[in-house]
Amino acid sequence: MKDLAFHLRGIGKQFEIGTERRKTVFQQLRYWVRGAQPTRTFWALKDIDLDIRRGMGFGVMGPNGTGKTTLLRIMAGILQPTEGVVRRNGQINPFMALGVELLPQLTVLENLRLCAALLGYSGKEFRNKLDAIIDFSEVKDYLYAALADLSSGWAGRVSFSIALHAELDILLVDESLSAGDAYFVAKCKRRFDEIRKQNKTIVLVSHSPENMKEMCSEGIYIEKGRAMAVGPIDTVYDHYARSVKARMIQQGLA
Amino acid sequence: MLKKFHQPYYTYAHYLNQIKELTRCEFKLRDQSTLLGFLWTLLNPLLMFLVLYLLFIKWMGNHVHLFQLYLIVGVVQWGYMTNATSCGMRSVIQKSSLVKNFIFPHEVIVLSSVLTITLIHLLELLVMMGFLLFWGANMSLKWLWLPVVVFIETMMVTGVALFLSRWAVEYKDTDRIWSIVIQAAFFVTPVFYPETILSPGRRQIIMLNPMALLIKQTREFMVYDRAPSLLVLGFLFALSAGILLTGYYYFKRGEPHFAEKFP
Repeated sequence: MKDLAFHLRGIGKQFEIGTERRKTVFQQLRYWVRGAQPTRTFWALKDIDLDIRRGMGFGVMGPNGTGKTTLLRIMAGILQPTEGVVRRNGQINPFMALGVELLPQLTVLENLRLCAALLGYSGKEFRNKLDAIIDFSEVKDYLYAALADLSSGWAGRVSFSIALHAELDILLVDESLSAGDAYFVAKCKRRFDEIRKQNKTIVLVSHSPENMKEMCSEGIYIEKGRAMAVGPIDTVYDHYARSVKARMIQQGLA
Repeated sequence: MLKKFHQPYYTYAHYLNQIKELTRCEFKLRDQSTLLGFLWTLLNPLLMFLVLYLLFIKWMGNHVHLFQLYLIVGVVQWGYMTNATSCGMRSVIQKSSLVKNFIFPHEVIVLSSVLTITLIHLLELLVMMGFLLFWGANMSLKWLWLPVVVFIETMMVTGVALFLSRWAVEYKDTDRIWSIVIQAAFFVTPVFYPETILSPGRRQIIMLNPMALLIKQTREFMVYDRAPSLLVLGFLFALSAGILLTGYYYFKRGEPHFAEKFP
């Protein structure tokens, strides 16, 4: 386990759809009295086995809605799997999408502080790294503006920049690269390279083949919650590309 | 406790730092960092006091010695219970974006919410003491019991807030149910009336309420310069500690599934 960042076995995640996630107390009482009501459930993920070594770049790909974000959230520990085992080794920075909304009524600087605290920065660390973070995200002119006043693209940069500068071992990146403009994406990539040289792990979800092949050495292709291919990035990506092409041909798009 | 939490950087220093930062954000969000903002918050218990005083002074004045002192102690302590539990209850659902995107022990959200209200309460207590002195109460060494009483109430309120905050995440109508419960509880606690006007049967039931006991003891040493009952305070201390531990345990059991409840 020492050289592994993640170890997942038999991961499955089941969701209920078509029901309110938060019932009223009355509905809950009715449930207890009447017994379970049939609801539609579906398995967002089933039988996923993964081993990710430290220092590896790992790609996750698949069509929209196949459970990539769910997988990342389970790896981070934000969601609990319905079945299976997750073992982690290292400090995780779950950077889901670029547009992570913190507290929009507060200023950018206040959001930076809060975000840093939640990611494990101590007060001193934050003060030391603040200049580097501001440089990276280029929010210097907007530090005292409310987060809600910034465009969504800018707001996302704030949280992402902090994650990239944290003392982390593992970074989970969810399609963020597609959401930023080319300039910011290039900055992020350079920072990713610096991070990887320090033997940190990156798990990347992306639709872009260049990003995948550039930054990842291994990957997984997920379709409808099941692992279709796991292994070296080129093989997995080709498998994914072929199935995309097949579907496009089926629809007469290619 | 913290070892179960899977981020390896985590120390108590980080835990406290997160509480500190969240509390700072709470204050900013409530405009408490300005003097005017704080004065507005103070207006709440003072207005409540004024209305109840004007309404009941004629009637209760006959049954209660020094009614205005009696009343203000009750209003301030009861106000703390109401505000802390209600804000604590809503704290996690309001910060749902943090729960969905960061890995940290979620009780930090509830604790910082309760801490914010507690700090405001401490300032309210200062104002209350000012009023008491102005109306002729004696400041004596017995007032040193006040920190004890505040500590007991803080434990109780935190436990209830933790319990309610998980409940609020899991059930949509917790907010409404609690509003009704706390309103009813206001009338069932001798805040603006003495329990002596009730029949002995009803009095016994009402005095089972821990807040009623707590407020009564506070009045003993703040208003009437009598020593509080060690037995009752000891009981309340144990009870509040129990409520805190139960609330915490209940919260932690539900915590891993919070993120699923927020789309």
